[in-house]
Amino acid sequence: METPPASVQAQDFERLVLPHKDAAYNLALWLMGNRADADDVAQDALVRAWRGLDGLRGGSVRAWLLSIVRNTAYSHLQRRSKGLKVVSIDEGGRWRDNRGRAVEPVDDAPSVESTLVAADDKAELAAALAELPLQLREAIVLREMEGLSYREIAGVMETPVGTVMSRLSRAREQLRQTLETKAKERHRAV
Amino acid sequence: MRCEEISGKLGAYCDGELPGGESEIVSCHLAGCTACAEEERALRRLGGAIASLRVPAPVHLTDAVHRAIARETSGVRPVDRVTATYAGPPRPLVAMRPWQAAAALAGAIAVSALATGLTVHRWHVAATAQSSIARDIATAHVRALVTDTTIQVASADPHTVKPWFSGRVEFAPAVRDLSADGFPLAGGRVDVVDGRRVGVAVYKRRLHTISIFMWGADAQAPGDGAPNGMTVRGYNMVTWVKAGVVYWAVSDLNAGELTELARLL
Repeated sequence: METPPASVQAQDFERLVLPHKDAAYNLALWLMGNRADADDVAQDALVRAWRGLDGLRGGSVRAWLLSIVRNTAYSHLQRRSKGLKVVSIDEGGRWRDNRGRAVEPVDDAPSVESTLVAADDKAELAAALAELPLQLREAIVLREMEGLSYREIAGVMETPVGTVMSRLSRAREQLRQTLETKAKERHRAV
Repeated sequence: MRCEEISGKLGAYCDGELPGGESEIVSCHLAGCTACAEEERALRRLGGAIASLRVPAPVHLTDAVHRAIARETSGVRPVDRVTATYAGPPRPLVAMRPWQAAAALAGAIAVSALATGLTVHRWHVAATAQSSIARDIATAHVRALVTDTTIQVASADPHTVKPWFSGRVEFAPAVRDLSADGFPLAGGRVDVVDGRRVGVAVYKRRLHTISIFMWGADAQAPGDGAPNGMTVRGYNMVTWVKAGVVYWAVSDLNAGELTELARLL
């Protein structure tokens, strides 16, 4: 396969891919859980999209880009899970690993829900969403925030459409339950 | 159709994913059943509320991507051939005068610090002297990036970079081949920090550039110790002392991976 001339590639990238940068970042944010990692993942994914532009054939550019974001996020998450575990904070406020060495926690950045400064109910929903299992979270983000069709979501998540449907309904069920529980707790507190 | 069956289809119904016939059946049911109609409204409210949590990309993302692509299209010297090979960004960094580039970068850093908001690290350097050195080093790192002078000797081979330092600095810096660990060596340079000549080894991590500043430890320097991390103007920094050499690592790389590099050295 021949690489398109650089200028064509650049124009296509600006015209077709970059307009979807918000979608890319938003998915990265909800998958990674904090802005610092979302920055890294979104940037990596967009550069990968630029590199792989000639692999784009018809279909939705947004869905194609989001599948690159998802793959990038998963490899970052994998690396993170292999990373250092922070077990304590010393009196100077420094993080120490299990051998007492100073480290910075990998997920030190504020969580995604705490970066959304908003009304209480919005913050509660954000927290509930952030707590969802990864696969339910990505399904609901792709559907409700990015407006992807079931078929597109199935393509991005590499699962059958039936699985997408069941994940979406479990995600909604779980979100409503969490919100209800919180509402009851609040009611009791008042 | 009974309510339980309808309720199982409501999600797909709201998503517009039910086949025409089924969709019509659900519509008819909803018109006559208050309970299911309320359920439908609740689902739509939830969908709307989730959609309102969408977070747009920070303004610095586009620039960061353009820079990364420019680096990739041009090989060793990042910005020089941008206009020839990458016509995308309307105003590539290379078209600016150095001071404009510096101002733009400073702006980008400020915006990124703003956008990340609370991301900026929560612990600070205790000693004032150390923090002024940290600022000096962050400045030197940014200056080298902006003026494209991060590297004076370009090589991935420590046996080329290490001897290059002898005669230029008065100590033996640790320069290692860490490509297997995902930190390929890019080269080295000599810089000035706090009024002294220091050696700088440059490593890469994906698209990030890492400068490791090194100088001989003096009497006031603490003994060998664990890496200490901090954030200065949005840059992550890690410092440690090993075998009589003071090390400062600085990069826009996340602090976890920067600490990993510190431990490998």
